[in-house]
Amino acid sequence: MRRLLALIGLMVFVPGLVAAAPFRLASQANVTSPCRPLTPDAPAGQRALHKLLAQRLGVDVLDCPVAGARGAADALVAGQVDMGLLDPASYGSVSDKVRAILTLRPKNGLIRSQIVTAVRASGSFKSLGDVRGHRLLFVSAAPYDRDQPRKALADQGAGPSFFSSETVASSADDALARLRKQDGDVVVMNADAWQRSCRGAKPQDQPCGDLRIIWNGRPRAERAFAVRQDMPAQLRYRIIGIFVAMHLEAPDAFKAASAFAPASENFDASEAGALSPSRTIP
Amino acid sequence: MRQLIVLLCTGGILASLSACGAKPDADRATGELRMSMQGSNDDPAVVKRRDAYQKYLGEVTGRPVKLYEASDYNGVIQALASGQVDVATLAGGGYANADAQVGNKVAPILTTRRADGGTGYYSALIVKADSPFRSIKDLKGHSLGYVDFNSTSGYLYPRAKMRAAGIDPETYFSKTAFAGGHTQAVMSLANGQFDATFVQVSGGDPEHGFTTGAVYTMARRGLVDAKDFRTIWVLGPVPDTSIVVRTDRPQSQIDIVRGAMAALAYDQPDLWVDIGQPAGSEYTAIDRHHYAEVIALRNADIAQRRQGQNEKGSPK
Repeated sequence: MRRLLALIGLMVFVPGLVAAAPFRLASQANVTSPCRPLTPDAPAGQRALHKLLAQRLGVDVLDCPVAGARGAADALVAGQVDMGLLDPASYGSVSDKVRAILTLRPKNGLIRSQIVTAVRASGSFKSLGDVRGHRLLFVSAAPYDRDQPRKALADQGAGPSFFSSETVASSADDALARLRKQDGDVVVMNADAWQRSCRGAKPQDQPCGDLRIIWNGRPRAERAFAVRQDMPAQLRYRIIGIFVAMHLEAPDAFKAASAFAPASENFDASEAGALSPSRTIP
Repeated sequence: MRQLIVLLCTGGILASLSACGAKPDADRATGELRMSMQGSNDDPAVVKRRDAYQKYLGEVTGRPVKLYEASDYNGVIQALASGQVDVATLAGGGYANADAQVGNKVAPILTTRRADGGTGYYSALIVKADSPFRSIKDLKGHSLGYVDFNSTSGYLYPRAKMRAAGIDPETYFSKTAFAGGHTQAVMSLANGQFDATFVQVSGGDPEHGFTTGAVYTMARRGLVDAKDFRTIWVLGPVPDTSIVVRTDRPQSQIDIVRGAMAALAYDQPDLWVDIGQPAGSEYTAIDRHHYAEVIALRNADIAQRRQGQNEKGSPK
């Protein structure tokens, strides 16, 4: 009994002597196998990544081989790993327990900006599904005005064949003017352009009061690092804080962490459902 | 029982020693997080942004967040440079000033990246719409208002670009003065104290026009009418404002703040817009290199002014 009390006393007074739980990072492999410390012959980049995480999280980091994204999803749900790389297919079956936290931005690429889809408020369209077979307006041919909105719509089930026609206007204001003149039925643009056109110049201005947003959201991520939803928020934010600056602070570690998409610029934070495979239009 | 007491005492001593040991930053950050943002309490957007950051950072760090309000650029810079605050929002010129004072004790960690990929805003030379001024050439011999000595878009960039265009900002105008802020610069122009002023503009580009910045924000509050002003020169892009931290704070807390702020646009997009950030944008990680040009411009401007003062003071 005395020894037990003594041990408890030591644990209470010397928290540093109690080993903190290691951080278990899933890595892609042919077969899933138990977590273990990285071996000395591991690639230099992977060692740099583990070293960085160990320093910054203050705990040991273990390598947890998993069989693909599905293996990572299963291991996350089973509590066998703390973070793993998922895709939409593997995320779909674990979305009630797992969330995305980090995506990669391509080199010189765009962020996963919010997209707004709007129609005339006086019309009958209430959802994205209602505009099937109608005329779509883009605000310009720039990638952030056309390619990214197009992908976001396609992710929701509204691919190119969904609309009867696609027209590229000369600006957001031009696109909205065409919509109002019924030269188009639905306009899609990034949220930045929508805000610029619709925020007004005076306190009572509501320049887009005659329009209705029928869908807004982001293009789906192809892949994302995911964690369990019950991971403490501070640890989640700490991991995000380390990863978003990794390309600046530890380029070798970044190269290893982003090896699944080599032509990448940096990690960005993401919303929980960035990988969600669900569609507005079945 | 004696053995137990001895063991407990030993544990206590070891614990006190371990506080100086291998994990110096793990548990030190238990007090309040101190943050500073420049802006007037008269501006509802500034108050809203401060309140939102205070609430959000308090929730995610688990620490009470104390806000140090500063009505001018220098208040924030000095609070950060002296270590009175842990984190602050600063424009490039302000960061360059803090960098000159304390070097790598401060570091920019995040700035805004917009939907089009850009991380900058612009500086606009504005005049009253009913004035005869159509270009900076028309302003020779007239008065010019700067925002603040530490303002990037309202001082540093304009002066560098004027010099690049062959205009000596020290002699070209009949009078120059500091308004103290972007809002004050616009009000001073409206009230006829200056003939022109440089202010920050964003939410667009020179080709499509702008929708945010002092004039537009004030117009939405009903303080001015945007149509009463004309833009005659646009400069930039200028590296956008950043979140700057004291690097001598626990790394764990810096990582948490950076991660939480980076996640804000994605986890709470409505709040992101509500606090004045461009819709569809995000916080992206940066370091000192992001402001290399601003730091160089500031150093060059100081050197030019010193040279001018020396020439004035030297015997002929």
